[in-house]
Amino acid sequence: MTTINTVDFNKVIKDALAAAKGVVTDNWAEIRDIVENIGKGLVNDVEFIAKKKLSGEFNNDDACIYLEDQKMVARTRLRSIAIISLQLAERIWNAVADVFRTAIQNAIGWTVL
Amino acid sequence: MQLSAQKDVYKLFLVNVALIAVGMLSLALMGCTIKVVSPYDDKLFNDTEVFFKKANTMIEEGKSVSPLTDEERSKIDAPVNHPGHLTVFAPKYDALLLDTDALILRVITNSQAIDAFGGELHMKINDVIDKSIPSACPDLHTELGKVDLTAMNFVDLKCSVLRWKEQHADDSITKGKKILKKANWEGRKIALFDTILAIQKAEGFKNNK
Repeated sequence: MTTINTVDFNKVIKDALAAAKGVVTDNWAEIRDIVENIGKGLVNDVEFIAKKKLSGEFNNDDACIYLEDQKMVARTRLRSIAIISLQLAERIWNAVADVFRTAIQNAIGWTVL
Repeated sequence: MQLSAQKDVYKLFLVNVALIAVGMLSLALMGCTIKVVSPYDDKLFNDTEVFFKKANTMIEEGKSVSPLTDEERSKIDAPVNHPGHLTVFAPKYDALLLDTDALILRVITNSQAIDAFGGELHMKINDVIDKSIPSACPDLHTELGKVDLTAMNFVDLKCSVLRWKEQHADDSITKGKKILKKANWEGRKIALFDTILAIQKAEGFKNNK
């Protein structure tokens, strides 16, 4: 791997990966929770409709409007995963960019980034 | 939508998000500065919680006064005088709609911090969601134009309340009585809780350094 002005870019890449991994490890639980909620939500929907049909509290129209609400919930959950993912990507970007910015400035000797 | 199809949509969506994240990392390696999410807003977080409490209070009231079955509802002779009638709840729906408008305004103001690249990402992700699971209120989205994902979440929240009001006024759903059943309110309680949980998870994450 290239070394420029004593800056070892092999080590820089390792440092950048370590920084990115740190961000993912620290924040994975948040995304995992929402994905788990999506899975449980699908099962809960079926159970809820079946229970209400059996008890005579739901007719076909009631099941339809319940599922319409749940479709809106699904849209919100997808967006929330996206918002967290984008935030996560931004944090990874910050961590990696910081490592590279410092390395490149040390190698070239100018502040170019 | 079939549940198996919903699972496929989630998988497809996660792949799309992963691809976008890879694209962002490529930009990072070029040293570009980007801002792709709106900042954490304490007032928005707290106001969303206040909205939840207000909507939940309405739902609990609806649940407590509404009939259990179609048969029970059919025996109500003077529906206009019933405490579960639309006329009792219409002002409550309207108050919630006003609150969602205030939340949307606040989110749109915050979204100004997102740069053009971030804005483009939000639109692409939202297009995937709209095509996979179409909104129950497409006109509402058209009216607002291009807004970020957080704003879209609150637009969908407004859509849900609008649909609740329309369903309460629907003679076909309420069998001409304009009174819902306990189970309809129970379903709304589940949807409200899940929606606000998803919104707050995403907004709270912004504050989780």
